[in-house]
Amino acid sequence: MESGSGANTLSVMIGGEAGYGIMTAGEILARCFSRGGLHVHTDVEYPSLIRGGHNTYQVCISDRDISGILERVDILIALDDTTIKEHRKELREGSQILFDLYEKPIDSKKDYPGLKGEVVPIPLNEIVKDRKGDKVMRNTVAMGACIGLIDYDFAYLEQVIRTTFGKKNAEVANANVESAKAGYDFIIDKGKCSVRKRIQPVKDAPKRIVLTGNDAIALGALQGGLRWYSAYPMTPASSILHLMAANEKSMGIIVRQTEDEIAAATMAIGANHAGARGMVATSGGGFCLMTESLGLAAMSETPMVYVLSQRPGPSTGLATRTEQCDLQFALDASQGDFVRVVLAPGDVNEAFYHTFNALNLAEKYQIPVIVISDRYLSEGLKSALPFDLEGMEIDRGKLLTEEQLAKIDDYRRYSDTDDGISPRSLPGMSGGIFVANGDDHNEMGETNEDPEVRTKLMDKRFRKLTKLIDEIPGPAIYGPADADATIVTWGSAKGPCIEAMNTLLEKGRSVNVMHFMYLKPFPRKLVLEQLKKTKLTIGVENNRTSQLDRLMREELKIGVDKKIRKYDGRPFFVEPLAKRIEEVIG
Amino acid sequence: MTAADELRTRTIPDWCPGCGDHAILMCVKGAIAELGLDPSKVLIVSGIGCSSKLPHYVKTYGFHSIHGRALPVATGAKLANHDLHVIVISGDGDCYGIGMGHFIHAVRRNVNLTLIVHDNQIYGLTTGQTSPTSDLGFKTKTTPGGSIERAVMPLSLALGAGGTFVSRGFAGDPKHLKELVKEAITHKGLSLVDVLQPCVTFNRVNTFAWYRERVYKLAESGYVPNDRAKAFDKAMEWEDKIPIGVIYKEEKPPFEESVPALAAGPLVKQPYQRDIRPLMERFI
Repeated sequence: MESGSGANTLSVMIGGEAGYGIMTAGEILARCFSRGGLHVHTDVEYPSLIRGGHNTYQVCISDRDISGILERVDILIALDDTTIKEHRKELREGSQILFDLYEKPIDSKKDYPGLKGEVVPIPLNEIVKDRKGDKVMRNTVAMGACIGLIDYDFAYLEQVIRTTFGKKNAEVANANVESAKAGYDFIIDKGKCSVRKRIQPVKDAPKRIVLTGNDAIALGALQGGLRWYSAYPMTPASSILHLMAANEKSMGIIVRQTEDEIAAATMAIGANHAGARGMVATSGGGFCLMTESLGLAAMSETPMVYVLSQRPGPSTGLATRTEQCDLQFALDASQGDFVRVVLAPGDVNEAFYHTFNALNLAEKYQIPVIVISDRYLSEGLKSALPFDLEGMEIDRGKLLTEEQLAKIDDYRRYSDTDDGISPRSLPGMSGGIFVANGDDHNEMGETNEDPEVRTKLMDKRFRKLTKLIDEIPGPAIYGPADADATIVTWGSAKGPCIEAMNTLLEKGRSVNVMHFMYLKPFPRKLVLEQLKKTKLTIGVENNRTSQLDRLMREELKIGVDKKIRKYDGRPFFVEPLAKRIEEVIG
Repeated sequence: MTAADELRTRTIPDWCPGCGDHAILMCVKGAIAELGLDPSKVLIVSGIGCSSKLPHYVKTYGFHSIHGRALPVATGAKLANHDLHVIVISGDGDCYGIGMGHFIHAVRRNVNLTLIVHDNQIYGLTTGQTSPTSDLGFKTKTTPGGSIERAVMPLSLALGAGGTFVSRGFAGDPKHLKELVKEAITHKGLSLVDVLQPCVTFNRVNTFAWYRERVYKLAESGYVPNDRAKAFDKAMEWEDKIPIGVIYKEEKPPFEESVPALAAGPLVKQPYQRDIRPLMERFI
């Protein structure tokens, strides 16, 4: 049985040159299926350039939750013939290719020997010309045709087009709806092709939101009272900056694009120091520049949240692709020993709730917290229930008020407390004067190099771990509690692993998933408890050197039994991953 | 009003005897006292270097940060709470070397900060290496044959970046310097006070005497600091004659006034809870 082969599961890919409106079309399709009560999950692939090149947007649709990207493509919307050439391997018997044969008459059998699936011709160019539309609107016509091809309700597409373009103006929205309708009608009226796969809306399904990991991170931070966001543009973190900037006024937040990542991070430290919750986001290269600030946050005990959205390195690497290659970097970045939290959400839900939690942890423990994402999670769309905001409390930890300060005789900012966390005053408060210090210092914040003071204050800062470790959840288990094989993974590889597990469970294999979200401080006890229950462990990581496995070996002297790694710049696709896991299990 | 003496902390300055930094410290304290600022509403942010130890010697809030980053740290703090008076203490290496990028951007941003740069044309704390403001031919441990790089002209850079308050003081004339610092603190927008501050240990060329022979007060020469083009000429004067005082001054709304989120008052005073549901709805 093939992965995602449920009666109501479909994989649609739209491809063409950058500038053809691939991204917009993909997003609109995803939302139009979600509005029909279906679950969606998308992957976007594009090179680092503005025009030309080859872009694709893949939308996986199902009547059940879908958390991984399928390798197979059921409907390929090819806005150019490169799309057919590049993605022919993903086509299966029964796949359909929407292509403008009228504009470019290719002989698919001759040009692409062994091509699976049928080419459904559609005069995209002609339809656009007839309507005196811009060439870029071929994508809209193609979307309509796609909806016709699967006999889905056109009304959903119309709704989403109206919301998307209606913001600009009604005329543009109308023109797009009409173009989409023309594409839809062409397929329906001509009856030139059979409906291979029919997609039905799910009745009475709950309303869902469709968002990227970056959207979820931004929303989680805003829910967490974020007041300051500074960043330097860098794929794949930039969309957080865009979303924040668009909502600067309505959310009452300061959003700054700075001269570099050093300024972004140190400005955010300044804002946090003054009492406004601040966060930054970047990718590996930008995080390199931010590492000096990481140590400053730690030494001055200033709360700080960093979002590190990974892309393949080293150096510029593959600027617009995905990899889980910076875990080890995040774990130890910056000089010196200090307490930090490193966490890696696995999906949009975790991205929302745990970015919120990151802000709380940073302020409660007065430490830097690093939230790791990657291109796959940061930019892929996923449908989810609107976030439940009940009980989400902002915890500002030991932040003092002026009234409390007035009762303290000899206020010491870095007082040596039992839990290592010192009550914090803010500039502007009377009675709380101190110097925050990146040099090591005594309890008052005065620079001090006495060996005893150094040892005492280092121990104070590390004592935070005692309480902190109790707040760190162990890895989560998905699937059966006991299984012959356990897939061990972290961060964004969670979804593909769960999908692969589902495929194998359907085939009667005994397998489950152990997913790490919190990686530092490492929840040793909880991990050991979980590991005791496993038989064969298979590490699945989207990197070259199995960085989670290295962490486990450092912390526990136990690693995984078998490793599956992928470092081609693309995320794990469900079917090949399931196949590799099956081969490893034997 | 707090007297300057009351701003003294228990930490004793560890600068060399005779260092120009002592005079700058005295002027900063004097300015805060004479302007009647509430010490708990003052935040002094510094980077790294001899100059940057200054926050430890003034009883106000302070942030002794890292090398070159005093300006961005101060920018974040000021925008988070613009009720604070934020003074940035930096040095020629800190501000015009490693922090040069931030310097130019901070000037063009025009956040209401007072930037005092202890400019001694040498790296002192690291025991005597060349600095961005070292003159051509200046011999140090790292330029034994004399510097072959042209010196940075900080005032003209600030003018080019659209600076709204560009000035120079001299640690050997504390009376003049204190008034300059007061004027800088009062100015709305980023105010630069580049201070000629002889390093008595590592710079045997640009000494108090060397500067004394050259400095002259702009105000006494009848100069009016309201023309950017003329200011450029003054900013380029060096070698024989060195002007001190305000070189250029212009009233422009500071950055804070253009930030939408600050219309409702200082960020830190706005309520933390907010309703994200309308934003979330947009993702349907």
